[in-house]
Amino acid sequence: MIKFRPSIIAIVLIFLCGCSTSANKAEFEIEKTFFAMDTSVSYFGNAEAYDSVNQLITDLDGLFDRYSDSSDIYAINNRKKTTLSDYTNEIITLSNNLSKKYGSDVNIFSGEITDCWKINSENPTVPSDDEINKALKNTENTVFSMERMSFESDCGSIDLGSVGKGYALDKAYELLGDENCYIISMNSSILLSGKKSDGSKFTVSVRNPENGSEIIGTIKTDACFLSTSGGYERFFEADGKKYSHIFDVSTARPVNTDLTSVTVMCDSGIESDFLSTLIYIGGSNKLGKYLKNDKIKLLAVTENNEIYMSDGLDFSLAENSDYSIKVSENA
Amino acid sequence: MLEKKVHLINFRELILILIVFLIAVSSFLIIRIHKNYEVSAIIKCGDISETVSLSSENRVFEIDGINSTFEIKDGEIRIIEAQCPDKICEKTGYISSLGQSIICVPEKITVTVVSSGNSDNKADVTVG
Repeated sequence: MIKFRPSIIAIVLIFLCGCSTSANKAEFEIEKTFFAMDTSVSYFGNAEAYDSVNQLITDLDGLFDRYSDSSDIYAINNRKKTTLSDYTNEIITLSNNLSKKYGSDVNIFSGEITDCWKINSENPTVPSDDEINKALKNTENTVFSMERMSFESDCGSIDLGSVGKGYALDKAYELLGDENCYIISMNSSILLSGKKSDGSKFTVSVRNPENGSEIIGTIKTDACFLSTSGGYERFFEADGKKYSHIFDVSTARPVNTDLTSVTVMCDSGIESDFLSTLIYIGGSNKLGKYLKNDKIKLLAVTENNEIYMSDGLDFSLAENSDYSIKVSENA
Repeated sequence: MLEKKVHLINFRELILILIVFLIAVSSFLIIRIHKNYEVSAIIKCGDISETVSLSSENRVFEIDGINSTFEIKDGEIRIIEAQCPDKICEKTGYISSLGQSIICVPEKITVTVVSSGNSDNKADVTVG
C-alpha cells in the first residue's frame, strides 16, 4: 500500500492550483449581444445583470422608435393622445435642455429632415430642392409644448437618433450602479463602469473613420460614458456621391464638416451622445471651446488625418498610423 | 515497534512530485502558446454561434441559418455578400484586430475578432 504524508499531498495541491490559475481568468463573466435601437448592444459583465439590461434597453427602444406605431414617439409625431412613459418625458426634456445649453444644431425636433431624405429606405435618393426646402421650413416652424409634451404646430416630428443610445446607457447605469465592473457597448455609444479587477484602466479602440476595419488608436480611461459620431459608417450613395446620415438642421442637408470622427467622454451618456454629434457638425473651427471644457474629454479627427484632443486624454496612435496629433492650442 | 524512518521524502514521493511538476509546467506552456497564437472570429446570429480560426486557409464560406457569405483571407475576415438593404456590414471590409467587429443590424449578425490569449494590444471594446 502506498502511503503519502500530508506534506506531499499539500505540495501536489499547490501545483494543481498553480495549473488552474495559470489559465488567465477573463475580466468579465459573460459577453452577450442583443439588438436594439438600430444597433447591436454588447454587454460584458456579471451574468445576473444581463437580462435586466436587455429588458431595459429593449423597452426604451419600444418607446423611442419613431417607426413603430406602438411607440410614444410615434404617438407624439402623429398627434395621438396617449399617456407617455416617464422615460419619454425625461428624454425629451433633457434633449431640449441640451439644445438650449449647447446649441440647437442638434435638435430632436428635426425628424422631418430625416424623413425627407428617407435614409431608412432601401433605395435612398436625393430629394428635390422643393422637398428639402419644405422640410427645412417645417422644422423652423415647429412649435412644441414642453408642458403638454405635444406639438402645437401641424408640422414637426421628433427623432431621438442623436440622444437615444446615450440616454439608454444613463438608465442602464442607474439600474446597475458602479459597484461591479461592466461594459455596455452600443458601438457608437459606450458605458464603462466600475473598476477592473487588476486595477488597470479600460482600453477603448477608436475606429478609423476612413476604413471601418482599422483603428486609429486606443484610449485608456477610467469609468465614463463615451460616444463617437462620424459620417463614415452610416451613409448612403446616390448619383455616385456619399451622403452622411447626420443632417445640418439649418440647411436640411447632410452635414458639411471637415471632421471625420468625434469622440466625447464625460459623466453623462446623453450628454456625450449629444455633444459628439454637435461637435462633429460644428467642424474644426468650433473645436476650441470644447477642447478647453474640463467637464469633457474630446478626440476629434479631421479629413486631413489630424487629431485634436483634450489635455490629459490618454490616447495612443495605432502602429503605422497615417494620423498625426495636433497640439490643442492650434485649434 | 519503534521503527521510525526520518527520510524527508521517499522515492515514490519524489516520482510523484516530479510527475505533478511536469504536468504543471507543460500545461502552463500549452496554455500560453495556444493563447498567444489563436485568433478567431465568432460569428453570431440569433442562437447560432460559430467560431472560425482566422489562421485557417483562405476560403469563402456560408453558415447554415445565416443569410450572408463570409470570406477569410490572409488572417482577416469580412462579409462579402449580405442580404440586408443597407450593406453597412459589407462596407466595413476586412477585420483582424482583437475586439473589432462587423455588425449587420437588419440580419442581426455580429462577427467579432477574439483571442483566448492575453495579448498586450487587446482593447476592451471598440467605439465608432
